[in-house]
Amino acid sequence: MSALVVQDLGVAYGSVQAVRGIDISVERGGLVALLGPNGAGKSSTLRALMGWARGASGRVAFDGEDILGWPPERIVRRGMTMVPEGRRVFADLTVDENLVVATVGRRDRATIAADRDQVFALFPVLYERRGQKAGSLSGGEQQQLALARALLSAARLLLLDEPSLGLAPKVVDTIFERIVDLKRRGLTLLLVEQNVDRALDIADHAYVLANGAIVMSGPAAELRRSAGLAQAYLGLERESAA
Amino acid sequence: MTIELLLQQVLNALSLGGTYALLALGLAIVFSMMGLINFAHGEIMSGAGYGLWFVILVGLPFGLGIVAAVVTGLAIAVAMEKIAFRPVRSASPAALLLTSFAVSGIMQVLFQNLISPKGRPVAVPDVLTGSWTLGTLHVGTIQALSIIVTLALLAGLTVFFRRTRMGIAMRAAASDFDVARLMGIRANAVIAAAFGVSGVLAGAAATFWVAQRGSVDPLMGFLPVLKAFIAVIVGGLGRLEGAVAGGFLLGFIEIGLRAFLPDDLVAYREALTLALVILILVLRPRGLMGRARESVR
Repeated sequence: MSALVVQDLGVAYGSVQAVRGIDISVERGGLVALLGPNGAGKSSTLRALMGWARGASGRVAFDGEDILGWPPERIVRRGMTMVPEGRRVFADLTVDENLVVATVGRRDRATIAADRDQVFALFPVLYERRGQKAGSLSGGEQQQLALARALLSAARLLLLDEPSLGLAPKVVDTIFERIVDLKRRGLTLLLVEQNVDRALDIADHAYVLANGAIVMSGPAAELRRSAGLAQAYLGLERESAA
Repeated sequence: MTIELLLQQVLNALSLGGTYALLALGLAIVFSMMGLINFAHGEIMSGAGYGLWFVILVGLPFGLGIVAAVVTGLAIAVAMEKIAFRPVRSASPAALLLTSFAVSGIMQVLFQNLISPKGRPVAVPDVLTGSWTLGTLHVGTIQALSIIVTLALLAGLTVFFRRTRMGIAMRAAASDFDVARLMGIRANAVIAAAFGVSGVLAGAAATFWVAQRGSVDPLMGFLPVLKAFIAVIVGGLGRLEGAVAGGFLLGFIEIGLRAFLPDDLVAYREALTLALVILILVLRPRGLMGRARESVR
């Protein structure tokens, strides 16, 4: 059963077509990676799914409901959210307050306290820093806070936009471990990454995007073995850089 | 200069600066959420003043007039958001700004044609026009009340913004509106709340302003709100604490210049105030509490 089905999704910024009619499907409980060089349309795709991009066309079904054109808060309240590129924690708010904000859209107030404890168990560093301003955290800690926030919003499907961006390799390890934890907890994940090897290590399935179109897709294990990927990828990188 | 005179001026500055701070805070709350510099904020204040005027006119007590001013400010602000700004919310900042000019102009004309282009007197009860004597210090009752109420409002808002879910959500929306929506915060609700708070603050400011001047006119809101804009910029655009600090600072500069300038320079008071403001902005281009924007959008 697919949690998310994207059909013929297009994203246009004025006359620039960033995404040209792509199809993506994410199984419930699955972890799907969306790969590709800079400017391939990965982030545009996520933004369109989340109601952040105007000029999106096609069909996006989340749990069978067509959500394209919905305001973001309505999509979030239905159970899908995004951890945006660059983390974007609320810098002036404390860690605790950031987590409170994440629960504003929830109706099940009674279970929030228990969920918060679970989130702190998953991200112990956030418990230590709960009274600190989020802006004073390190990049890795901010990324953990961004993940925790999404988790506490009670989303069943998370879109992760470049979670490793700007982080030291060791920190990236931690973040990816946490992402695997989230999958184990039954969350469905769509991961956009530049870090191809790491993404393929943890994903079930992957799509490779270039110039706004899908050029390759398949089970992550197959893509990793295929000599074609690196070639296609590098070739595309060169092409898109030109 | 005696210590009493100095204290007297400090009270004057607190009272004037407090009124600026309330207006500036309202402007800053709305700006921080939707990037709108609401030039029609002055008309919210004027409208609230007319609410007070009307209640006194029909013979109801002044206390009810204060309630009416605050409720009118709230109602006008919320209606303004819903009717004028919501349909153009996603438009460019320039379009939002022009919309606010239009709203301001339309409301001024309405006040002029439906009420009067001239000032309308508001009878202020004797209890409020009197003054208290503390030792050798004379404190106007309205002045004292305005300081107390302003501080109480600021304290109340601080608790609201720190302790309540809605308040914390509003701070989040003020710092990153798009991401706040990713947390499930409803854009319409949080912006309506921001306008509502700004309307209540404008209503309180209108009460002090009218009580001290004894009349309401269609252009009443213009000057104090212009000062509030300056306060917002001086404090650091988008920083709520900055707007409050900027309001008080402006109050102290104005009163300070009025009190201590030699007589032949008093005429240049406004110019000197603005010169000081420009000096502050030269030294701190982002305002007192402003900060560089995050590079990541």
